[in-house]
Amino acid sequence: METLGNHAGAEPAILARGVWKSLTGPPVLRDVSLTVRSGETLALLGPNGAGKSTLLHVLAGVMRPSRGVVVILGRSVEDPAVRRYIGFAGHRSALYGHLTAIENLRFFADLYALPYRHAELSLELFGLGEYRDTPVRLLSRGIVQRVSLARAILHDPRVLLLDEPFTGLDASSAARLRELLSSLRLRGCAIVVATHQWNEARELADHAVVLVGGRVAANEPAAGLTPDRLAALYEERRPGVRGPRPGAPVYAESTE
Amino acid sequence: MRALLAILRKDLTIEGRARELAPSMAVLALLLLTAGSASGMVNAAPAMLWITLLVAASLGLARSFHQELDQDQLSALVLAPINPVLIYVGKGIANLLVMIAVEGVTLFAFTILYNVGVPREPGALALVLLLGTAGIVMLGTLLGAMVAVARTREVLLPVLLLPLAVPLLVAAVRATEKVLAGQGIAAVSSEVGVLASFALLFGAAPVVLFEFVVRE
Amino acid sequence: MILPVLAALLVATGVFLALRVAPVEAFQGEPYRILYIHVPSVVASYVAFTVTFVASVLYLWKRERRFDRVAYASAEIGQVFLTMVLLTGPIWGKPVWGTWWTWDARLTTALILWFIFAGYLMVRAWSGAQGTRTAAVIAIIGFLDIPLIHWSARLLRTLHPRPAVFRPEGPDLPSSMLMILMVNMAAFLLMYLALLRVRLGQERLRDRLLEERAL
Repeated sequence: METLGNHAGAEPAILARGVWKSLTGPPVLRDVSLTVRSGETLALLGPNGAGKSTLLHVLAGVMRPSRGVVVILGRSVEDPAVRRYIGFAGHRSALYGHLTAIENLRFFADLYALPYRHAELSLELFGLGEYRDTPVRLLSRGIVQRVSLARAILHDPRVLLLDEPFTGLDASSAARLRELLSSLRLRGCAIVVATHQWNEARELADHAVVLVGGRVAANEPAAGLTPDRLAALYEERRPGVRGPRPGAPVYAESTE
Repeated sequence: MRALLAILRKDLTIEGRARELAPSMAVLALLLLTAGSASGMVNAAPAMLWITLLVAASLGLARSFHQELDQDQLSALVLAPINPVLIYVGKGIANLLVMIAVEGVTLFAFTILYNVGVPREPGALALVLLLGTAGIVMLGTLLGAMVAVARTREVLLPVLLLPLAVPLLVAAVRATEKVLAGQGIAAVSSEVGVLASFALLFGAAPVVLFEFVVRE
Repeated sequence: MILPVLAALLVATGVFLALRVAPVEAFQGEPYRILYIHVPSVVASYVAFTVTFVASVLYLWKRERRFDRVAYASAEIGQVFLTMVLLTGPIWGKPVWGTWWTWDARLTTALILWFIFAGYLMVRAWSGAQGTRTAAVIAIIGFLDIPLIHWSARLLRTLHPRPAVFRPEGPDLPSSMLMILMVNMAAFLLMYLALLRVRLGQERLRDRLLEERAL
């Protein structure tokens, strides 16, 4: 357990190397490499269908890469021991509509062998007290999103992977989420947020990885993001374009 | 253990509230029994009973993993620090309980529609029913997880389940026949052997194979 | 190129031997000659499904595409041979037993196996990338189910002749017949290998095309 324990070290919390993933047909991810250190936030940008969601699933270990490796806190993501350190909220809620908010969270507390007060705390953190005993299927999109986030951080993960977490949130919930993310970050959590909003990325993240057509089109400080820059990147490498073009942006750490 | 109970409780709570499986299974079972009885299948009562149970099970089990997929709950389950087999075991026990409830209704109707009396050895009948049901549910739950992602799961599940369950069907029907005719447990030992082996095989196979089914 | 040609020649020779050279059987008369197609088809299909089983285990274990290709190709060919078994069986059974079908252990096993692999091929056709693992699991549990199918079917009555060739005491067939049967057996197995090669080539090509389109 030494690598898992020592999470403040120089070792990256998330490391992906040469990741390829094919589902049906052509690969969705092509030679993706990236690193995120503890206490760092990475924004994952890209047009729809660029492979952001697939990459998050692969980083979480829910999907296995066709080629390449993912290392979480110094261990292969395939090692069951790393699972309890990963928090993941995809664009679907992973909640059961017929269970209430608290029942859903308690269910996950059971799976993570945590006391039920974690479920209550997590609910409080997102200001969900009044929805505690409402079945999830009766809640609005934005509230479900908050319950889903509450579920993702229930077990105090060290690696948090979020897919479009701000979609459907009202202004105050969004502010609450930003606050929460920065406090998690201060505690050394490594965060990856997939988004298609450049300003969101700039505000939240230290680094930004831009995926276009399943490839890393750019890996650079988030502060440098502008709409023009993104538009240029999206234009440069559309899906289906063969081979790297002359003058194409530099790839993030290529492998092989 | 806590995770297993949580999964089981979750599945039963949802079934209790949504009532998605049991009622449709029970109604289908009653319809099949009625159709069989009306069309003169009374002489083949045991065969009718087991075909009814298999078809009703395949209807319900095809949907039993649906609720893990519509919001991608399965990803969250697979990500949790538990042995993935627990997902199968929890779901399997829940399905077994649902199936036993459906069977209660089915047997009641069966007794009336097929004019069946209580056999001389009710224990033997109970054993055959229990082993047969367990086998159907164990295999069906594994298949249910496998076909859950397919667009055509309602068709695919029976197409896969029925041929694989033939040994169970043959043995269960023959055993039921004999027991209803008044024979004892000793007369059906080889049938019970097939049923027990079937339950054993499809109870053990998922321990190794289930992870491959749910993990992309 | 040599393999398909050789297989075709040998099958032609086998058919010729079966129809013109092999002696007439004392009890069954001419219809027995279908044995020379029926039995080799059985052997070829069971070999094919065994290959599918082994390749499926390896695919789940090693996760290499090539094992999945072998499993798929072999299953398809096995199903073709098994279809031949199920067609030639009744044709043989009718004149000899006086019935097209009987619920004998071997017939039952063959028929059920056909249904299992029909399901297998349906899964492959309908479930995309996820379907490869599902299909592998079906191949494995289907294969493990065979002894149980056989056992349960033995609870039913039988007309089918006891195995005449593969049995512990050695083959129980006149040597002239046995020789010709062996030629046909070799021909069918060679045909299986030739078909397997062709199907594997196609599947490899498909994979390569998918990958090329991606780059």
